[in-house]
Amino acid sequence: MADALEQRIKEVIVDALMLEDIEPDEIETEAPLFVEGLGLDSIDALELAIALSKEFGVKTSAEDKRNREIFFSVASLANFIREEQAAGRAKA
Amino acid sequence: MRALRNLWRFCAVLLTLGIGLFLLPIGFCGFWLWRALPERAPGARARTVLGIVHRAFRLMVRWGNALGIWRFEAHGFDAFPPGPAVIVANHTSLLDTVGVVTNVPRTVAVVKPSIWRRMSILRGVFDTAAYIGSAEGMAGVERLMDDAVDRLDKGFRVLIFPEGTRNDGEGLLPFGRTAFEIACRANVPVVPVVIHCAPRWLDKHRGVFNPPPERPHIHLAMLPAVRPVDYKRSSRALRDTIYEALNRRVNPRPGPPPSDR
Repeated sequence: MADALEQRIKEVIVDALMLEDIEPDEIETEAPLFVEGLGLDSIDALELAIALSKEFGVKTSAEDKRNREIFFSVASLANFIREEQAAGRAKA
Repeated sequence: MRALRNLWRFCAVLLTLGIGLFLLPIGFCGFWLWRALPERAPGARARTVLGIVHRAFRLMVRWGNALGIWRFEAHGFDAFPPGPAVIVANHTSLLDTVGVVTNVPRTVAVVKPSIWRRMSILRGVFDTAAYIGSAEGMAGVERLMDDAVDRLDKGFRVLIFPEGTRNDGEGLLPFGRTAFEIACRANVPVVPVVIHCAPRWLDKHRGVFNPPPERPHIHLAMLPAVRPVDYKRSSRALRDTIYEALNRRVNPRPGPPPSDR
């Protein structure tokens, strides 16, 4: 069961990437977002980073070596946003 | 007779490589001397180098055709749109770039990091010709797209193989979206090119010193250009359309659907 933050991330993914044939609830929280999972690509990652920045105020750099880990799944994105919120670097 | 033809082709390849190796140091000295001179206008040096590469490849293609090393044939390039464009093609062998650049002047290629490293001696030429280095990850893709849009803004054509690597199978590999996203961002047409190379040579299995028993026939066909505005500048729609168009011509049997790689 996804919590409110995870649910919101799923909605942002569908809206920002204009995924026409998938509903937010169909995205599995723990499943990989890229390649074998939801099938997103590196351009989607760039667009998603911008959308998450607008929605939650989190900043991710394209150069960040943790990107693969952060963008792995909805759950990993939620963890990252919570960490940033706790550190006061993102909208609470 | 066939053995004699094969021996001739092998000797012709050796002769061509020998001439190339002989001319390389002379060309290099001339290149570095010329590069030391001040540039007339921004981008002038890149245009000059791309012009030289275009003519050198054309000469090489004619030379190989005349000696029986290969048989290059191209169709449809008279209708190439004026101005900048993204060229996408299926990738069968190292000769693909030669074939496209021969037929389309002012074409900038995207060079994989492994080639950039392996051919480090040519790095100065690649840089001066405004070739684009590709890299992996979000940062690499972002830089590649920025560089490609910059080249298109300057009026160059950008050649990208959306399969990402040479394909030694029958059908097409799934297409990445980068080439199509670049075209959408720069709002320039995408020109699909179908390449057939039979028998295969300079693919992942057959090196330069191992030419096939029959003379390779490299056939390039340009398909009508596709404008991003006709697909609401959606790189996904553009990619899927062009994948279908190329797949129908590359592979008579239906191939795998394009993926969101």
